[in-house]
Amino acid sequence: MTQRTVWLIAALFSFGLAGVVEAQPVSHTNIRQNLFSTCTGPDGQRWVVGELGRIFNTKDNGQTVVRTSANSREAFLDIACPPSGSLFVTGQHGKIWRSRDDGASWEPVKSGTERTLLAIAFSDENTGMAIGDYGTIVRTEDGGDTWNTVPLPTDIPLPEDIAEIIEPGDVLLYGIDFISETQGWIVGEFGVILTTNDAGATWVAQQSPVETTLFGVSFADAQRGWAVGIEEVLLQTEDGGATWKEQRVPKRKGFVLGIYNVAVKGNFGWAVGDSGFLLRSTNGGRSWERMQLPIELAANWLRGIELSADGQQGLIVGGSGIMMSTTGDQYRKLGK
Amino acid sequence: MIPQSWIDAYLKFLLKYSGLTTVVVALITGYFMLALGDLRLHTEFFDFYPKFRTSYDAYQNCREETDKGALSCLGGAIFNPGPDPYIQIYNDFREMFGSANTMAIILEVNEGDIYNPETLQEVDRITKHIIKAKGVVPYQIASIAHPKVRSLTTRAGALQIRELYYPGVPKTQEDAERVRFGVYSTKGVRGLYTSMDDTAAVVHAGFWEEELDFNSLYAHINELKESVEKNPNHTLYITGFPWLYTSVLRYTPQVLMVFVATTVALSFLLFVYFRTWTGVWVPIFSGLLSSIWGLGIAVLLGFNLDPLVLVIPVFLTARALSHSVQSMDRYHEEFYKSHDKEKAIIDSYGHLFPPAIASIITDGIGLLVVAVAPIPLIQKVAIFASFWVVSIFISVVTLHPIILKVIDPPSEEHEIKVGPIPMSRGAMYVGLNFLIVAVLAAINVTYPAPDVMGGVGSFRGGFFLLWCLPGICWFWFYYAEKIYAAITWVVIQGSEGWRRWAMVILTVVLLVGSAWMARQLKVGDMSPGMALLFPDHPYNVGWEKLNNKFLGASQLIVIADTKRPDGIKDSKPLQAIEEFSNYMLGAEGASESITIIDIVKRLARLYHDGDPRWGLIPDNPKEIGQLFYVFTNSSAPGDLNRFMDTSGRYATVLTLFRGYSHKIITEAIDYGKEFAKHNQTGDVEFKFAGGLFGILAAVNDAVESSYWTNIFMIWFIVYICLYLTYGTFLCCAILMIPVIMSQLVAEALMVMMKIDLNVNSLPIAAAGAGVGVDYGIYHFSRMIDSYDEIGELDEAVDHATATTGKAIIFTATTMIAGTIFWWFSALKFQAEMGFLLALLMAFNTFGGLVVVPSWVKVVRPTFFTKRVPQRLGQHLPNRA
Repeated sequence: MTQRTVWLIAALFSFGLAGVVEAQPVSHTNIRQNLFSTCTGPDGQRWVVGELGRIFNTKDNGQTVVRTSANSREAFLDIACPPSGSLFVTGQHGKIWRSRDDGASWEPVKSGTERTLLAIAFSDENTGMAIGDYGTIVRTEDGGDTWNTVPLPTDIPLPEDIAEIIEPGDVLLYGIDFISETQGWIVGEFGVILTTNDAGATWVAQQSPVETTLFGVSFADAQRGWAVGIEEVLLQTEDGGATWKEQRVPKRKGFVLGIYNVAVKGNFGWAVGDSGFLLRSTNGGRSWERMQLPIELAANWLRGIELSADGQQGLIVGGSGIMMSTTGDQYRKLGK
Repeated sequence: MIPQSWIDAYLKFLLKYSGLTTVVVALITGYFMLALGDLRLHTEFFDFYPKFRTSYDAYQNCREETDKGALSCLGGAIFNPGPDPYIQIYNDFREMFGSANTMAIILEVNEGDIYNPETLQEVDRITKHIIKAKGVVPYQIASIAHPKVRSLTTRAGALQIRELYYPGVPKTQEDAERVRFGVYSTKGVRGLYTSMDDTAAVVHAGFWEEELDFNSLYAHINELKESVEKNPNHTLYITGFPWLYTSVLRYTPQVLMVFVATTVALSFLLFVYFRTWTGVWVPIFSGLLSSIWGLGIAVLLGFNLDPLVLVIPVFLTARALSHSVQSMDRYHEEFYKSHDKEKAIIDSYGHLFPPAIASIITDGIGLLVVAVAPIPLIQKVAIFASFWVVSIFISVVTLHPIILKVIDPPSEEHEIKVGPIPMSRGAMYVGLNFLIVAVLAAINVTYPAPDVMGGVGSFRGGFFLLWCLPGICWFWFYYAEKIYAAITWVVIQGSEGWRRWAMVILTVVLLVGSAWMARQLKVGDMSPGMALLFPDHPYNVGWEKLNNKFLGASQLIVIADTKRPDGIKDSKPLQAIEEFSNYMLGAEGASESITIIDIVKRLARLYHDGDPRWGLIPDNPKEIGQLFYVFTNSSAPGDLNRFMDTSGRYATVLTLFRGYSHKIITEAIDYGKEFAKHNQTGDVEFKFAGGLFGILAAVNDAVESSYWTNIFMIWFIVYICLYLTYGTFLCCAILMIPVIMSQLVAEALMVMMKIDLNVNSLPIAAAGAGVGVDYGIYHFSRMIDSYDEIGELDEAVDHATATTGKAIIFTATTMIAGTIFWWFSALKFQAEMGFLLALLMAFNTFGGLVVVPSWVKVVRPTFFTKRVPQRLGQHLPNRA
């Protein structure tokens, strides 16, 4: 072993050690990667993931951000914070990473699929689902040790012209949300909305008023929920998804933008999308107003959103490392 | 040592065939003069680019990458080092990704931001104006107004690749807002083409090195600047390499002014010294003749003269002049002794030949050695400067005896008598002069300097000093003799008694101290513009704007080579490029890294309804191929040229830097190489380094490694020449002390004065090192003569100092006068170099006159003490 190698190992060792002992906060200006998702752990910490293996956590809703490493440079598309305190991240190639020590170390777990997993959610400590490309749903009941594929229902209603070329089982699934230990929803291409009453073991299709792609779904309680999608589609249900209807979205001159995510808690609701698209509700999602964002935000997309149980504290993440915090009905870009 | 018999024979030959010799010299001179018509005074960029890698680098590379032994690598490194790797990469990819020789034209608004119709229209006009510049690389013009800089958006499931100005040059505020959105939403536009604070836009233009025409560029850009700034809200700044040398070339007329001023000053000094017209015109004639030969050979060899190194020719002319003075002085001295013209010629030149030839050869070889630097610019300087110095053998050593034979001998009557003037009156005149200057300064009257610069800037500062010149000249005219005598007295005192020990200690302190300081001398420590022009020069102001308002003025381009056509259109190479690009942001001073990845991601998003979570490099090559296919179908040809070549084999990773010092450059490249070393997956090979950083790294590396090689080789050669002349190890070592000391002191001064060691200053610093030993040589030769006459060392040394001292001090004065006028140059580089050379000469004089005698007296070399006093050239007529 050459002297150089010894030094290198020593350097790596001490670097690794430093990482365990104390992680240094990252300045917002140094976060430039696209950020895709955020979640809140049982201890109230918020986690943010993005491309090039970026994982950040924050204890003060984004004021100070610390980076942790999963020793991967792959794109981390979604993160789930189940009540167990474990953390799960999904990515391309059917990859799922798990951490059981508050993000200090990460292990890849076998998902049984090679498909890109776009979203992940847990209904309780041990039961969770990751969804994605080609109608993929993989489900775990043992806290992520083993994952099994869940088939899609074969009776998903598809638009006529599409039904001829695409199998219902191949529908691309984008968004998932659980409101209780048993009840949850999935949205995807062609306006598809699925629901479960058995913690994701089986899924049934719900009647959707649109045939266009839905990216996100979120429920405030068992009855009231919202789904969002391209062309400024915002759907609302007040009967647990038995009926969905389009909600009015204030229009703006120019392009019709995609809405990527939505969240409503307490009186406050936020919906985010392409090119700085931001909707705010202060009446529990009954009506929405459109925010005018400054150009540096407006030129980027916003993708991930997480609200506290009362809706008072929120975190929004997006392209080029954007993080925004919400307090009540106010929003603020973090960093300079 | 040249046998005295040869010298005598040569002198006799000259005196016998003086007519023939004159005709031959005249013919050659005429030939050179004819050539002067083609003298080209301009910068060639290719002259900066090292031709070979440095031997050290080649050796390291050979040891690391081959199994060859140390000796075999050493041989290869010295005799066949191979091309410089960075320059080779640059040349290989120049056609593909454009020139590193880029100019930036910055339009700044004084109020508001650039997103208004007038300003955006102006950016468009500037862009179009630049397209018409001569030598511009047509596909390397970029600005927000240029159709090639496109915004790529995925809207409502459709890909939109549009110029930022779509659908046309903005006419309304609404159009301008659309441009603003395009700028903000497209990665690699804001910060690169518009400033981070929205108050400036920049047009980048690359130029082919070989087609750039500085004069037409100057006119073209000035016309633009004038018209743009008619709008009071708009200011135009221009920066970048082509403009740097365009700006530098503007100062060429100053060279003539400096040359005239120097000639006048030298004539004055000569007249005051000799008090005869012969004493003026003969040395000036020698200087001019050498100039014609030196410049002539440059033209005949097809060299262009870089205006920056013109400091050297003027310096060399002064050099020729000072040799001339040495011999004229000795001739006058001998003539007043014997009043026999021929005898005086043979006597004086018989004694002066050995030191003259020794110093000419030393200077000549010393300058030639500079050519080991693999940079053409330096090699050219080395070759013609060396020839220039050697031509002194003709202009002084050969022609002087002939001239002196022909013209009337100096007679006592011809000497212009200067009546004694009381010191108090002299002081009064000088004081009056200073008073006038002070009053003028107080009422802030500037010196009416002729505006030769065409408005770029005129003769800089020091005008008041020029105003003082009459007083100084007047004083000098009447008291020169006394001043010389006083200096000589001081100089002799310097090596008397205990002081010689003090001198020896001082020498050691200076050597150690300045060596310690000189260690901090760094290559390329400042931006190229700062090294050449004063900080307030518009060029540097523009550079600062580009560096501070945008994401950085310097680029490092790394080429990703996949080794197969369309290799880029695959996931693994793209991932490697993405990781590398992201990694490069960690380099010190890096502000942004731009690659094709952003486009690929946007295209991938398009395939999935625009969801950012699909904005990833797709898993399979087929999908990537489709993305590129879609892109090429919906864009104009050449839209991807910034990022990859047409074959799809190479891609670029462009990193922008705010810093530019050699340290930042080399660290950035090493940092990048470290990644390449640890990530050898076989998918892609990263080739280092293109862009401005690659070029600067190559040039600076070459300068850094050849500088010390140069200096040590020069010292070695000087020593060998000295040894061949005097045949004594110890005494030659003593003669080397001032040479080494001056060099180190000069370097320490460079550190203190923050003068950059770079491709331009290297030949000048090296030239100074090579020619400094002359004073020591003349003085030492005289010591030998004196010792032979007197036979006692201390007395002989003092006698030598007393007799040669005046001439040496005088020649030093001429050398300093020959360089100091550059100090007034508005070109920072010339000002600094002139000053540096002047200091170097002053230190060399001090070394030759004070240090050498002190050391000789202290060391008492056996060369003297064991010497059997011998009459030099016994076949010569007996000296009086």
